[in-house]
Amino acid sequence: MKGVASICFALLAGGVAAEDRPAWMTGFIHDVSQCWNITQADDPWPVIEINFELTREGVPLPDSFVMTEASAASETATQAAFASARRAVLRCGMDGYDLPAEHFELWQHVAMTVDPTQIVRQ
Amino acid sequence: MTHLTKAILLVGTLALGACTNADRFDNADAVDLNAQNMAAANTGIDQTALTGANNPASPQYFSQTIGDRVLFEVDTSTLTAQGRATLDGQAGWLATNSDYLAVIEGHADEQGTREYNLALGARRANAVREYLISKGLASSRVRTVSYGKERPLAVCSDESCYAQNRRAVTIISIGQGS
Amino acid sequence: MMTKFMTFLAAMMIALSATTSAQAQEPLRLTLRDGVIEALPFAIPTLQAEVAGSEQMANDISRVIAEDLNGTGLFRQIPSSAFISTPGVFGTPVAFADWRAINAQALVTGAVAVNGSQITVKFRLYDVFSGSEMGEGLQFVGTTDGWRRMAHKVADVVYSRITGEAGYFDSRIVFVAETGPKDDRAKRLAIMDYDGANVQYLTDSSAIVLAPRFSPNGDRILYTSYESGFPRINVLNVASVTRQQLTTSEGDMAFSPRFSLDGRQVIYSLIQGGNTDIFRTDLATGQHQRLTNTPAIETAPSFSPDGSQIVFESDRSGTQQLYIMSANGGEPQRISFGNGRYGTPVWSPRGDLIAFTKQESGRFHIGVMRTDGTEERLLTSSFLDEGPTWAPNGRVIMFARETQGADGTTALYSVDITGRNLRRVTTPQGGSDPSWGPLQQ
Repeated sequence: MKGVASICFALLAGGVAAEDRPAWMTGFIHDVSQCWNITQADDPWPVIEINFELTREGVPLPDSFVMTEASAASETATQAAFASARRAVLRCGMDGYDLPAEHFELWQHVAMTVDPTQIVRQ
Repeated sequence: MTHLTKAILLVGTLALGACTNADRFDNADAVDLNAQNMAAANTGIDQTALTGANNPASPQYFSQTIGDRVLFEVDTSTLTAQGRATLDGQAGWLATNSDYLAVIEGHADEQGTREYNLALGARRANAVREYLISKGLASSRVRTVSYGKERPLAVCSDESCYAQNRRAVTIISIGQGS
Repeated sequence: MMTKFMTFLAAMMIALSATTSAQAQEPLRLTLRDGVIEALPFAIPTLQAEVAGSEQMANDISRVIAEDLNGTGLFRQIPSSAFISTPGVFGTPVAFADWRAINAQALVTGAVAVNGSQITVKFRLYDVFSGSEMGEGLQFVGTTDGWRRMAHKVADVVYSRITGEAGYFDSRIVFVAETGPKDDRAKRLAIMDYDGANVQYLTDSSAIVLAPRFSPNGDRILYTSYESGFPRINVLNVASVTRQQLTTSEGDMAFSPRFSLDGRQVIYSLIQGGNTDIFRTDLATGQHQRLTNTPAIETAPSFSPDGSQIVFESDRSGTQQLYIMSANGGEPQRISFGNGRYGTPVWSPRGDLIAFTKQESGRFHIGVMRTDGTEERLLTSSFLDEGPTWAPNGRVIMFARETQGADGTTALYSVDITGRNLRRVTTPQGGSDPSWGPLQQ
């Protein structure tokens, strides 16, 4: 039942080929996707952007999550989408994401666009 | 209109009786109707020789000897040659026995949705009604009702049963005062 | 949003190309486009009995809440045997670490107090991994005989907060209860909770009854009855269980009725001289209007949620297909073009989909399609599936399934609109022709 991972880095959308992405970035987003439970793939949640912070150990800080953007949807749907994305990041990061300590300043703050609209119906 | 109303009530009773008896043509209502005719004939005549299907004026004769039903192909309401022959017999019987009214029940097999089958049963019943009228039956003597797939005669789920269920059955009853 | 996003992206590309520690304060920008679709594990420790003597009720309500959520297929209850700790007094801080350790993603805590015939249910929903409450705690007060409804209401809130959709548990189904063999089947109208509990019968079995339909607010039921010897439409008042025959246009037989969204009009099929067309009757004025006029079979009409259109089936093309016309009639647009025959269309309460029965190659299916006929999806397949009805939130469809052969029986099933979670709805006897009522107030 798991969806096929289709990972995208908006950061690199401007011309850097996928194979040139640092492995740790690929791994990070892949790890989060493993915990992102889309309860109803048929009628996607709104696209949202969440911001959060990570500790030097790569553990997300629960109180740091904020929703910075959301496409038009009901408040209930938007809140559900936010809770779901936050839950995904927190669950898979309980033991810390595998991120390069020497680049802490690059990943300490994360702005993650969460977009369920491409999820393939099964 | 009074005649028709009474007849409808009578037919309604028959229809309800059918709810608990799949083979309504052997049921008590039909025999009771016949008994009215038999009462006058009881004296001096061998009663068994004239009962039931042996009496050309009896409902049993109508249902068993002439045939009270016609069958249809899948999803059609077109009368077959055999069906028309049966209906010719019915029309003749109804012409002779002019105190009888008829209700045509249209039925469908189970291969279809409930609503569509109700409409299809109505088409079949109407095909029979119009044929009988074309053979001289007064339109005021014949009504139609559709049961769709609600009243199958045969219960298996293959063509041998479906063929028996795709039917229009002519139910006759005495029209009061006709 | 996208424009702003792209602008930001461009800015980031510049920032990246000049990679220096000066830009380190900028967030790492990523897009998450994939996830998993699996049941969300939740824990619901038995609600606390706040008053002595409430224990049984607390158990029962906890069980029904869990059954509601489990039954959706979207949630998976974690058995209490896995619990590391039990919650303290309702409302005191939750030991989230204990729930994280068993991978509970949501936690429901609550308390029940029974005082005489009154019952109070309180609950809170927690997001275990963020260690926070999802929404505010709520309290429901009602009577003890309505305890199942209180459980359904709690489950509806939990469902809604986690999925972002309205719930559907506190709702009822009207259907035809069936007993007896195929050639002598007795049919009665019956009403029950969505999960098959609290069945009550609305008619006896002296006449065939077919296809009941709830009014939009659930106060009345339309159905077809052979009481008069001929199929006619009755309107039944649910509260008083009194009924009257709908006065239709002149015709031999009337069936397949459905209410308009305001409950003031009825659309239905009427048979005149063997031909079936669609009509509309205004309940207050008694005025009738013909909506179709062809020699084809036109039946199973269903309004769009905004009331402006009607979807129905017609065999005007030679086989049963689906069409949409204006609510005032007029030239319809055919929307079904796949192989096979399409019938019994029902417009979803969200307006986006039409559910239908499809017959193809000797099999029956329940399916959904967009209102323009695209994206057809078949959700079920069997010897005979028919008559879909939508849950009030438009996520789940209930229908009837009949098994093959002389011993064939009918039963109600539900399936979600992705085709997952096919389940049989428990009823005391056979069941057919379900109609799902609204969420109760």
